[in-house]
Amino acid sequence: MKYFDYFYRDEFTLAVPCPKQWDVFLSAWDGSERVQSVFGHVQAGIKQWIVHPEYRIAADRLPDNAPLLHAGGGEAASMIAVVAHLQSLGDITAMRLCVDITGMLRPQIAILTRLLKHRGVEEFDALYSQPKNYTHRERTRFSSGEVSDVREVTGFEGVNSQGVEQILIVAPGFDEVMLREVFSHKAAVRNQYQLFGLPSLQADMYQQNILQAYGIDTPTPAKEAAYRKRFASASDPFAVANEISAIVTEVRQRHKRARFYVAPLGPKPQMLGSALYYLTETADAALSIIYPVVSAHASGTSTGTSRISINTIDFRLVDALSGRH
Amino acid sequence: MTDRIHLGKVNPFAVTAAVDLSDEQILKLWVSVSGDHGHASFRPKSPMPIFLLGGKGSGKTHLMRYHSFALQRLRHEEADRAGKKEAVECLAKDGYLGIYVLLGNLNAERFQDRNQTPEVWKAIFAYYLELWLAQELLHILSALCADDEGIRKAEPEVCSAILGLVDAAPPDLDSLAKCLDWLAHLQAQIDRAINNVLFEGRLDIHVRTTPGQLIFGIPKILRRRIPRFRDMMFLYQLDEFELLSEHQQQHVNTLVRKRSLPSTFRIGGRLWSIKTLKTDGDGEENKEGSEFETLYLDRRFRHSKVKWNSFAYKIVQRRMEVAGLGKNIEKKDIDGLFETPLLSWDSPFVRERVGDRSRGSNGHMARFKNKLVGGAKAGVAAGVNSDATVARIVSHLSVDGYALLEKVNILLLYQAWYRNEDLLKRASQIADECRAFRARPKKQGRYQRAVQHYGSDMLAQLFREERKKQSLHYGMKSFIRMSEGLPRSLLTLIKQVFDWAIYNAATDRIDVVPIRDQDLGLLDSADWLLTTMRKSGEHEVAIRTAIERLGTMFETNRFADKPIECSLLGFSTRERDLRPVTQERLRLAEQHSFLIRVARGGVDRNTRQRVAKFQLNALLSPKWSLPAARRGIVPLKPEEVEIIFDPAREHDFVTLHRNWSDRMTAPHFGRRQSQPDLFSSP
Amino acid sequence: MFDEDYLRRKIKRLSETVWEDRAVRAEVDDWLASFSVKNINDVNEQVHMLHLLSNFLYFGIREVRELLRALFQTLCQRPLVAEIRRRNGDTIDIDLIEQELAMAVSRSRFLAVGNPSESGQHLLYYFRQENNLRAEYFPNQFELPGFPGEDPAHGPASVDRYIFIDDLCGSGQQIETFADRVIRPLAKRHPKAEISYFPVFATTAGLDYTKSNTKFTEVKCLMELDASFKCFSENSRFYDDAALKAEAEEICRRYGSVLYARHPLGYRNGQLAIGFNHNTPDNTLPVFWAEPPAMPNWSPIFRRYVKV
Repeated sequence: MKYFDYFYRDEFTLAVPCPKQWDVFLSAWDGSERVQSVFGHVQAGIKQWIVHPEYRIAADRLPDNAPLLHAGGGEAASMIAVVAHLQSLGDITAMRLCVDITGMLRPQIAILTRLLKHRGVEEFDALYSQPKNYTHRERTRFSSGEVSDVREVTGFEGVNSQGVEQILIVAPGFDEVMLREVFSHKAAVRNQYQLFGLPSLQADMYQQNILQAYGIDTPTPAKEAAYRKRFASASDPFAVANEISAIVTEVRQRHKRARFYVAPLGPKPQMLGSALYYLTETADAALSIIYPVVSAHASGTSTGTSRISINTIDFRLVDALSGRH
Repeated sequence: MTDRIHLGKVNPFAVTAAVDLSDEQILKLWVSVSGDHGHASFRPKSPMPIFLLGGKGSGKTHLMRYHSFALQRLRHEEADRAGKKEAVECLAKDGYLGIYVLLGNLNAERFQDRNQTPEVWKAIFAYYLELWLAQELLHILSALCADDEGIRKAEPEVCSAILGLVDAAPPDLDSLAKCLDWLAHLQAQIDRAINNVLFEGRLDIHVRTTPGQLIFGIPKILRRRIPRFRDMMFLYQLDEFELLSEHQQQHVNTLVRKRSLPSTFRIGGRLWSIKTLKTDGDGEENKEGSEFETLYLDRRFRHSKVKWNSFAYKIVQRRMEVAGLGKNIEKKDIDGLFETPLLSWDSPFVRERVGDRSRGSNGHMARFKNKLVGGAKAGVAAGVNSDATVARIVSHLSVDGYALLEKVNILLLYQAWYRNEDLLKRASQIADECRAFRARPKKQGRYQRAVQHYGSDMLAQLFREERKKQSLHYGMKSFIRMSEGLPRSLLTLIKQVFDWAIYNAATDRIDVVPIRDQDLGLLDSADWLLTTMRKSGEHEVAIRTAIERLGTMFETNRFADKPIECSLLGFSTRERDLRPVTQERLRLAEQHSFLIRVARGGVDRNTRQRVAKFQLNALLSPKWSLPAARRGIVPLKPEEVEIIFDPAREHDFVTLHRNWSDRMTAPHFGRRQSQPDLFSSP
Repeated sequence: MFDEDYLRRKIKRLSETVWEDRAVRAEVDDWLASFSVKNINDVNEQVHMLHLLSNFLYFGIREVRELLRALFQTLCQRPLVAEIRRRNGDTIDIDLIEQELAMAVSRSRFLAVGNPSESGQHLLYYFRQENNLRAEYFPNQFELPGFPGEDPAHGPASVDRYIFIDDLCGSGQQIETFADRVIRPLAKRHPKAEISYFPVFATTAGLDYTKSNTKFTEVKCLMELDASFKCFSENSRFYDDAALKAEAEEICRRYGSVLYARHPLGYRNGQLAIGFNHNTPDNTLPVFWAEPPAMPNWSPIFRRYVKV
């Protein structure tokens, strides 16, 4: 159902004042222009930087305009620490919290969301800023380090069964290597859906996304049945959640007990949307979110700042929707 | 007279991976390896565990799924349309029951971290595996139960016996369905517990059975209680072994070691899947030949060209038939789909393509003449002392209308030049030899051999002068050779070729795929192969660079004045003298099939040491206009291999390549004093 | 310079994946045949055209349907829901929201811009289908308040908002004409109504122009095309090299002056390289779409169906 449209979502640009204010604002530092601009632009009682050691940013390239939270110890442990830190700042169930996910590592986005829910937070805002452009267009290489494995994201695992139809829903991003590793890891899953970003931030990104996913230099997969190519605006977590919901519903009509794997490799809101979907409709059920384990992460090669969105993750609404499911 | 097959708008090879095929399709497409219905290698009735290792598209999954229960059943149904026989009777006749399991479905990567010790995870994984395989087996049993009176009768006692193997089982589970539900419930509990451990804080799992208890125990029960199962082998087929961690593999190794009749294992994985041979307990390693055997599927066909050829045609034929291109398609129909020009020295195709263009100021003869003149000036062309001599040499080597022979002649002269022979004398000899050859081209001889050996390279040079990227490998015979015994490579190649043919077609019906589309498809396949590298981490860049460098070097050779080797596609080296990291990279390159290890290595002439021989995967040839079949192998010093496989040593490689190129280039052939040789003493 | 092999392969890939098998080799070659391999300036026009073609943005039927779905969801439905929730104290009563939403949608009307024979009607049909909207919400223009066939079912008592959809807002001048003719009387008869214009695509210039020169309450697009989408603009995203860009522009202008004399680089100098399954807009470079009757050998690659 399109219930994920019921969540509040605001958009603004740097040309206007930020429409909301918060008690605590956290942002993950990735060195990009837009992350910095937004950090300076928003209004919050406390502003702090999350630093992912996986980015391997040199100490002298880290920001000095706010306290730094080193998110070390692995994806789960780091977010447990961040939440504990938030709890030290005040009552997290009452604070107005905003997290800029633009520079965050994807698995951490999901884990943090679940942790906040678990610790009783009623709602928090997830902010995401889009760039003006990616250099090199379809030849952009977001090459991260070596992919050593593809794993389910902690806390977003599912229940397995034998002999059930397996479905892989992949949202290709711009990193070819990661995409291939995911396909290779789940090579045995023949029932696949690809989720492309449309509407896209820039009108040509959709076409580029396709070229990247199939590659000019790699063969196209079999001419797919039309229904396997799916779309959701990649920068809108609610649209992504809606689409995943639609796919799952459709598949379940043909295969009552299907096992789903979702790999959101595109922009960060896709991961957020996947996590949101999980928490709303399939927690502890037959769907999991998978993601490659990479030795190092390159921050994106983007310039400028265009639209910024504030996505209100309302856990009360999540529960209300869960109840109906 | 069968109607010629043709292509329409749909590519019959659009699906290339075994997992993309349904059970019915596999059955339809199954092609027994000629002379071996898969059984001789797979040996389903043998209690010996077998590891089936193969690269992507080696047929491993096909082979395993073919021997799984789902396909056994389909085969029985096909063979017995009247439905007279009972399922179990058919199985008994097979003598085995295949329990196919995709290890990926266990999502075993979860079993780590989360503040639990490796020992805890080990125990949980072992228990999970028991529950999983038990369920797989019971599902099969359920399916059989529905059709079989005998099993139905035995159901309650079988269930009771099985439950006896599990701690604290509820007493009232008297049907397979109820047992399955309960086991599924236990397993789901584990899934949930793991998923929530970071939030609940504890991992509370009651392990109710010991390793092997269900896996080996249930088949024993079945054998005892159900007469038809008495002589049956229970084959646990575990596919995707590479997805298990080292510890998890150790556990499976232990099961392999401690296996107990009537159960055994067939374990499938990629070439790099085996992370350890160790087992639990005493830490002993399983040994090839005693605890298990290994079947290297990639090599199946590399040892037998005849078998591969036959198999290749069969799989292509079957695919085409299934896609509706025709019935009873024959080899010649398949061959006929591809434009396959004759590429011999006297073929009209060649003569037409090259014809008069070779006469121009950029033609091969003109360039050769310039080299002669230049060499004479530099005083390194023996016997050449005047313009008249040059003209006479050129005249001797010229053969009107046969550019390829001219090229061979020039090459022979370059070879003589390298040896410092009198060039006029030699040119005259070559003219005689050439004339004799043309009179009796089939007669064995030195000249005839030169045409045979160097023909391919010379043709490539001629066409390159045409300035078109042309691979010169057309038709099924070439495709089969270039696939290097890997079914998936062949199918991908043909798919790519057909994709281009369909895209480029002027009409909706394609009777013959033109060479232009074959060229494009081959290039796409070469690129495809390079994208199949997996989990190589930091070596990925090194390996890609090395392949590029080797390709470039071989290309230089092919298009040189005096190639070091004809049809060069490989190299040899003293592998043991390489640094460990380079050996590792070689190994990885081989596992991904970028390099093929040539079966019989050999002995280095100078050092008397063992050398390893490698050939570039011929599927990559089109990228550098290389030959599709290997004749020549060039020996490389370990230092040279080190440079090639080290991406950081770009400067050294440039020097290496330059020296390499110089050796083959007239008039100096690398002998000019000013050139620094990388390895000469100061 | 351009790598022709690379461009051909890119176009093939596009053809197979997003262009619905359009621009197959034969079609591309037929189109290219009208261009010279070496013109009087010694320029290879064909390879220039290949480069432009490889950057063409084509949206097939699936994509267009998706965009229409997203249009409704993002620009119509979401704001309504947000308003409903806020009005009811940020309610999370799903039943209430659904109810009120259904009511709000039933008090909305959807129309296309332009005449019934134009592609707008196509869009409207897909829009209705994709979003499962009832036929009653799609009146004819003449049934609107202020028009001869005025129907109270579509008037102030029953309707709060009118939404006009479009595929592309180029310069904004065509919509200005439309707004004058249609929106003015509508707004006059129903001054409280929200009258929105939602083109799927819009140029930045077109959006600005429309906002300044029409009486729409709201003008929003789903995907904005800034100046970098104009093939020969200063910061064109299709060219890194200014000299190559100038060559390409010269070629397009020269052919354009024959193909579509008044607007050789697209309507009002649109200079776009965009097209849809249902049609190619005239803001796109004429070299792609024009099919002049006087030049029977000219074979457009993304033909345009002219409005009669």
